[in-house]
Amino acid sequence: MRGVRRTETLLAICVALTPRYLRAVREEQWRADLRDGPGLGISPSSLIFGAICSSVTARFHELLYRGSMLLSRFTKGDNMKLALGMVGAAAVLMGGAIAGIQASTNTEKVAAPPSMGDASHPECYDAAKMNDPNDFCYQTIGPWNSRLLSDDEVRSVVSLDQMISAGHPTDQIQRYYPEYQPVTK
Amino acid sequence: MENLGRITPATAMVLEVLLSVDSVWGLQVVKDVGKKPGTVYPILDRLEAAGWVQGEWDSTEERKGPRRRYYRLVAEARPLASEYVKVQQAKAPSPASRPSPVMSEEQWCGA
Repeated sequence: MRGVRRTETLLAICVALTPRYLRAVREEQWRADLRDGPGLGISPSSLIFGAICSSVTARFHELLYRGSMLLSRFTKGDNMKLALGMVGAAAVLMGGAIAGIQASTNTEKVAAPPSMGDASHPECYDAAKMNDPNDFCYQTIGPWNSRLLSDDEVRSVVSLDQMISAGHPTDQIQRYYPEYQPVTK
Repeated sequence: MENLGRITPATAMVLEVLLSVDSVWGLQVVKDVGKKPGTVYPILDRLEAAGWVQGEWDSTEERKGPRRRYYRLVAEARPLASEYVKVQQAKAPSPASRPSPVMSEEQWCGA
């Protein structure tokens, strides 16, 4: 009894796996084979396994066929509106992503807390200089940056000569290089 | 009728059985070929999908319940099928151990 139920369950799975247009044919065929197979010396379990292979293969080929049909719709240009629509949607999505990334980057710059600068490097965190492209930065040796560097980090990034040539005031240079003495003419 | 592409030895054996009769029950093919249904069923499906084989229902009314599925090799596929079988036999000349298609009582030879 349990064997019959298991066979029925497996058969139902096979039928469900089979593409819709083949289901009725295959189900009747498999049921007839399960009924008459043992007379030929073929076991029901072997038949069920065959039905599983058959249904999986049929499903695979159906998916393959659908995929190739979809591909041919694009390649043959049968549905150019759909193709252009998808390309347009992809472009919009990509544009949105780029804009989002840029916006988040800008937010990070703006969000550099002015209070942070008070602690050690006011020259790097001066809110008034925030949008000044000529403002000197010890991190990039160029425009503004939002990283808070320690004195040692500043020394490792910017040499004394670079500080002098950048035109920084003496007291600021001496903060990092206390041995520095400006040359008086 | 589509090209089958690669022909496996099992496919050639199925074709050989189909060539030997007009129409044959699917399970009879399984028995004659001596392979598992898991091998033969997909081959028959593939042949049917490619238009080489035509499936048809058992027309006898002696049996009640679900009908058996019979397979017939279409006429235009026969020359190519026999060519494939010859090529396969030349590759593996050991047909003696293989059971030959048997015309049993169970076998249906309709129309």
